Amino acid sequence: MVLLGNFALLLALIAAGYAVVVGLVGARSGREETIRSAEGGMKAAALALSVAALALVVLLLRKDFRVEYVAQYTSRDLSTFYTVGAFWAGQAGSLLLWAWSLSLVGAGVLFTNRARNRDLMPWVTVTIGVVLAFFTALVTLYSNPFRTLPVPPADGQGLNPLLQNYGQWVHPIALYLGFVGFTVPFAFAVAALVTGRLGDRWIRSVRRWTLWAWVLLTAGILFGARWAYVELGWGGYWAWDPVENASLLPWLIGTAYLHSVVVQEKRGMLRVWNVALAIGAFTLSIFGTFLTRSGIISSVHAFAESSIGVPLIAFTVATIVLGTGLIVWRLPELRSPNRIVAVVSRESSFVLTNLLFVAMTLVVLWGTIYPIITEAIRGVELSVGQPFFNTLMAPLAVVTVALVGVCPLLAWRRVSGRHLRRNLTVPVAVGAGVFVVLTVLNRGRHLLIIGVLALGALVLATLTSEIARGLQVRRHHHGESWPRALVNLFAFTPRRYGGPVIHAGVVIMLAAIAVNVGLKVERQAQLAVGESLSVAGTRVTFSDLTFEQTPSKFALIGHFQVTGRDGEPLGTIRAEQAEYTGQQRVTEVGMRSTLAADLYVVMSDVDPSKRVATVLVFREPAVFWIWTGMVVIVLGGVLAAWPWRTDRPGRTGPELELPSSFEEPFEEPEVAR
Amino acid sequence: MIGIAAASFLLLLAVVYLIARPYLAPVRYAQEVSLEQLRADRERLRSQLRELDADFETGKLAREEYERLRARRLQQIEAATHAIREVEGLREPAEAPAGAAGEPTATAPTDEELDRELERRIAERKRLLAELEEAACPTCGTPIEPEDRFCRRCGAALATAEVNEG
Repeated sequence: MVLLGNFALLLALIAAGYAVVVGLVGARSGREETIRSAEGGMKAAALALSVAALALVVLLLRKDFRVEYVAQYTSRDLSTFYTVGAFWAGQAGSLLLWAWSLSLVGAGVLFTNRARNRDLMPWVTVTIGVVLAFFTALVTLYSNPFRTLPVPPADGQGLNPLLQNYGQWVHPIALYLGFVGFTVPFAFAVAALVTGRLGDRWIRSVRRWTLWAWVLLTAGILFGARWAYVELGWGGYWAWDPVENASLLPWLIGTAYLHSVVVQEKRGMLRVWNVALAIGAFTLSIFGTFLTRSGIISSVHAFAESSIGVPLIAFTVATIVLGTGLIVWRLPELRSPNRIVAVVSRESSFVLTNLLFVAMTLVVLWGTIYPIITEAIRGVELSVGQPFFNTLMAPLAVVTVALVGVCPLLAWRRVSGRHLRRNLTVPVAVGAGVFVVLTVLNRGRHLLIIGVLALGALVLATLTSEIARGLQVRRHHHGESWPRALVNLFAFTPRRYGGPVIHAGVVIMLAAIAVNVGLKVERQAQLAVGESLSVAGTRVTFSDLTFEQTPSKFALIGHFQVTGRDGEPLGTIRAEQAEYTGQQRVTEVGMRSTLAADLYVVMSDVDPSKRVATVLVFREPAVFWIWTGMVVIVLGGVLAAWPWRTDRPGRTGPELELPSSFEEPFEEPEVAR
Repeated sequence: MIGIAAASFLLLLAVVYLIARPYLAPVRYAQEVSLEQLRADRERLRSQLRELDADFETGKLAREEYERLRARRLQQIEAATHAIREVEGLREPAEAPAGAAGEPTATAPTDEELDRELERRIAERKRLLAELEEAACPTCGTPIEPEDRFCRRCGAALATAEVNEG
């Protein structure tokens, strides 16, 4: 199996290299056979990497401890579910997953474009081929999962207990696929730049790929936030940890890209922006891999450290240099003759969106690499605290949310003030109403949070009216029932109405985060069994301490009674401190969730003989709504990216109202006569 | 061990096959490619049309601009449909002779003639579509918007006559 794995990796490397070299030859000569053969190389690499991945799975399942990777990340008692999940627990396997999924995406792109975009495909093949060859080389030469040990151990070291969570099957995979997916718009942007086909065809061709990449990256990040909250026991979901930032950077630029391309499709503008954003999103996902994998920064994701930093940073720099070079070379053709007609228009609001996202990217980027730079220059490692990010990102996020509320109401080119006033009246009234009511209820406290909530209500009102108007139009113009109109709204114009759903989710999530950050309460105390502490009116009593011994772990379990303001019982919470054999000590968070707030209990430093423990209790308001917002975001993304079949016969008819000549039989083709 | 060797060998064969296939059995791609591209183009134009309708219906586009853009898109869709029908129409007789082997027709054009004619027509249609889609000023080459009557850079009057031919 080890032999087969190594052989498959080698073949994949050769095949990817072949795709690059022959793809270049084909692009120059334009010979169809040569180009197809290069594409065959890419497909062959996908096949070989699939075999390599399968070989690793077999080795893991067999618990073949002769293989270093298997010995490092599995053990005899590890369940099958997590044994397969150990595939991407370490660097070598993660890189193999990267390369494998990229090869599958590449093969998928070649398949869907087998009979279209033929002018772009040689360069798409070459670009994806270069990235694939690079990652396959990393797996084969630097970080090979099939490396064997001279003396196989009797048992493996086992999987990090923090990774023994079903999240191991969601979070890393979604993130990797998201990162990998951004290679597709990158490859098409490069192809468009090289060939000079700078219209919107490349953008439309990669729209679905990009949307899915975005959805997966978003889901990966959000799921990671939730996983951190549930598992890590510090009562938060986002800490501006460098590795979190590494995933946020390509997300921010990718999000800007998704917005910006709309303007090129509608008005042929922002072409420089779009190629730059496509290249930027890809570069940042490589840079993110560098940040995570190079060990240059310390982070909670410390298990990811290693020494493939040099090739990764070299690749990042090469991408930036080549991308910038291509854009500069094509700059004269990229300039659009169209200018923004009015300061207040849909176009200008999209430009503002781009600027906001780029500003957020720069804030996150600077905060992330500042410690590295100071360490390099002054030899001191300074860390940039959460206040830096929070103070800069919060206002930018609020402005972005406000823009979400106004932008859908603006018309292309020029806005009529009367139209805008009419559309804004109801949302503004809703926002103002929410503000007044909440201010009165809170007697003037928490004005900042209430402001954010009121803005959120305003934006939600805009989005709702936007969808309602779309539904009404469908009902009036096409005579559809409400449910039919709802389905068709998404089926015929998925992005137009998937967008508002995503935006609604973002607003819900950000408003809930504002409430959570503003009103979170934290208490810590050393409690003996029988003692209690009080958090925001709720009393948490340490009622009992018990033990649990299983083959893989030894756990101390704290039982906590929760009582309300008037002493009414609200249930029990169970928090754990567990020691896994041969692994570090971990705490299992105990939680009681309601729509209004979570009660979050962490027990540590347990002294079983004195029956004393350090107990940390958080009252986390609105956390449920953060998760709700996340679900809505992902749902909206899926709605927008879903391959709705609108070309089915019978469904396009009334939509298009084609000229009557379409129904006439066409004259016989000349040649047949 | 033998199993592993056999699997490795099979993998090697498959890789070589995937790479060599386009040379071994050169498929004639041209017809498929252009038909598929034309269909993709038409689908793209249709989705633009839907977006346009939705923009207008929700009050984000002025009526005159909407009507101009809409007429333009319909023309483009019509041109694409023409092209598709032509390619399809030409393809069918090319495939038919295999089934109708019994009656050899001296007048029937050879495959090669069909191909050449097809290529010519596709090229023509593609040129037309390209003109419609990413129009450029004939004088200075600056990209122009569908609704422009004069070039924004050099001011040359832009003829729309060729559009109506399609």
